[in-house]
Amino acid sequence: MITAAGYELLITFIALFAAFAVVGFMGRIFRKADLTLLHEWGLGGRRLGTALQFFLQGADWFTAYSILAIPSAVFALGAFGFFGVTYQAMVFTFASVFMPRLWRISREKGYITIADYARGEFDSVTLSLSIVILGIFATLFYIALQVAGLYVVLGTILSKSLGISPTSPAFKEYSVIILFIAFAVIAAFSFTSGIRGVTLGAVFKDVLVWIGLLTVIVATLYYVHGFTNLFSGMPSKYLSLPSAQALAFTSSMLGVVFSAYLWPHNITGSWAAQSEERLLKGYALTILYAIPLALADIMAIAAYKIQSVHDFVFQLPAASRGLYVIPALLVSLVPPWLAGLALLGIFVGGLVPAAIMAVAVGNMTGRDLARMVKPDISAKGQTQIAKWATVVFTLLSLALLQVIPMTFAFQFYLVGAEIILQFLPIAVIHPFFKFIRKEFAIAGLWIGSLVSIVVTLYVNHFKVISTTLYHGIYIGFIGLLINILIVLMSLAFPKKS
Amino acid sequence: MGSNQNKRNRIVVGIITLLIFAAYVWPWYSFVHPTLAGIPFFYWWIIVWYVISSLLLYSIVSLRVKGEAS
Repeated sequence: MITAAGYELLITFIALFAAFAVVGFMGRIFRKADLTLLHEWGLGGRRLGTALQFFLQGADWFTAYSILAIPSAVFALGAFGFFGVTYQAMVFTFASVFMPRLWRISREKGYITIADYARGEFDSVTLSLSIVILGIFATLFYIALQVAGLYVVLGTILSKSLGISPTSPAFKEYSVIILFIAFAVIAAFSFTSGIRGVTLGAVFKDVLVWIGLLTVIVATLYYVHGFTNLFSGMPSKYLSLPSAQALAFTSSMLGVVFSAYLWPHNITGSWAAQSEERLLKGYALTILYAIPLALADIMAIAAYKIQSVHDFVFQLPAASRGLYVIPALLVSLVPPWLAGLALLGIFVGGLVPAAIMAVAVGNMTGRDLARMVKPDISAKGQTQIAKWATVVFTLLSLALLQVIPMTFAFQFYLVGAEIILQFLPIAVIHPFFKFIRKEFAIAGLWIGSLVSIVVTLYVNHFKVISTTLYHGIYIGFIGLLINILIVLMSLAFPKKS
Repeated sequence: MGSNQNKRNRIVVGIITLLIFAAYVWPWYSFVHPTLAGIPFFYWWIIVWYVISSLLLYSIVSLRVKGEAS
């Protein structure tokens, strides 16, 4: 039944997962501190230096889904799909503009979450609650997206080792059990060691992902005999971007650039930095992560060139085919132990961001929601609620995925980013120009979010969401324009001071 | 020390920020030639600018931190 190669693949994967779990739990004893305090548990005591910032930001932002979905887009669409890596340097350039100021405000005033910041800066519980609701809603689908990546890794492992096809009913049963175990592990180490455990897990994950991506690049180039052969004979849309797609390319990129570091979990990761200097150096270095990622994305084209990869990918349904390109390159071209190692890297590459997101939501629940219900809650009480909320949220997102068909997940992410983009006036404009009144901030946030969602539904004729562009414009920007116009009305009502 | 120094720092930071956006924001670099080791210009331009952007952002960190201090 099981071949020697399949056995090797499976054993490597399981052994490294066990090692990952051990590393995560070690977070508890890493830089020992009182983990009953929320800023220690949920922000790692704000003590992460440049190197750990690099690993945490890398793990936070370069997720399993980006490792699988961007090659998938390049495989299907050609150069247009490359927009998913083209924006990387702009993401960190833009974050460098506003995050240091936000970091300083959070440090001075002791804010732990973006909802916390909104409550303090705008003196508004309603605004804080709005951010919690919209932030959790958007994040839930982002986690579901990571789980989609986990399914692809498991689909590859199970079909190569035990001969269980990703389209078979048996796969569904096995993968649910495996994912439940994986999520229980990640929830347990988030619970016990908070962002510290996640950061150590991130170092482990990043090392494996780097090895995995370099393996894909070197092995593919070796098999196709260089880039010239890789690109030769491909349709022109694979060689450069058709000019008709330029506007859609730019506005899709900017949608991500302006929303990326407004996601609550990315704010959590950034606020964990020890100083402004280390935060900024971490950002600058994290851009380098995009180099192997971009090269690996180009390798997606090899799925048309290498027969064994082509056969593996084209046996799958068209909708999920692209996501299997990178795993297929690994299992077809390199020794099983190396493929197992790289696939585990992608697997924990989905788990670690899911854990960071869960910790961010836990922080918001313990810090913001709990204080609304019980204003005199103790610091320990807040941490306790945050820890349990993290566990509940992790399991909830896994359950959610059993309900929503996975094919729609990526669209939910883009809708999520439309909502997160509406935080921009509060988090980016306000720290620089303090003119926004809370009533307009709340109205702008909700109206901007609702307009974005309604226009998205309208453009898709209220059916399955397949695009977030309206005449080449990212719909989140339509919401943001209205949001900013509403916020500007604050100027008509000058603050009394 | 003085506000002149701060102002100059801010200008440098601003120019570098705009430069990185100019390199990427509109796909004016969507050509095939010249290729680099067989990689079309579109792709290698994007990748080479990761290195340049990273170096530029790293080198202005101290200007940012000082420029903001007051």
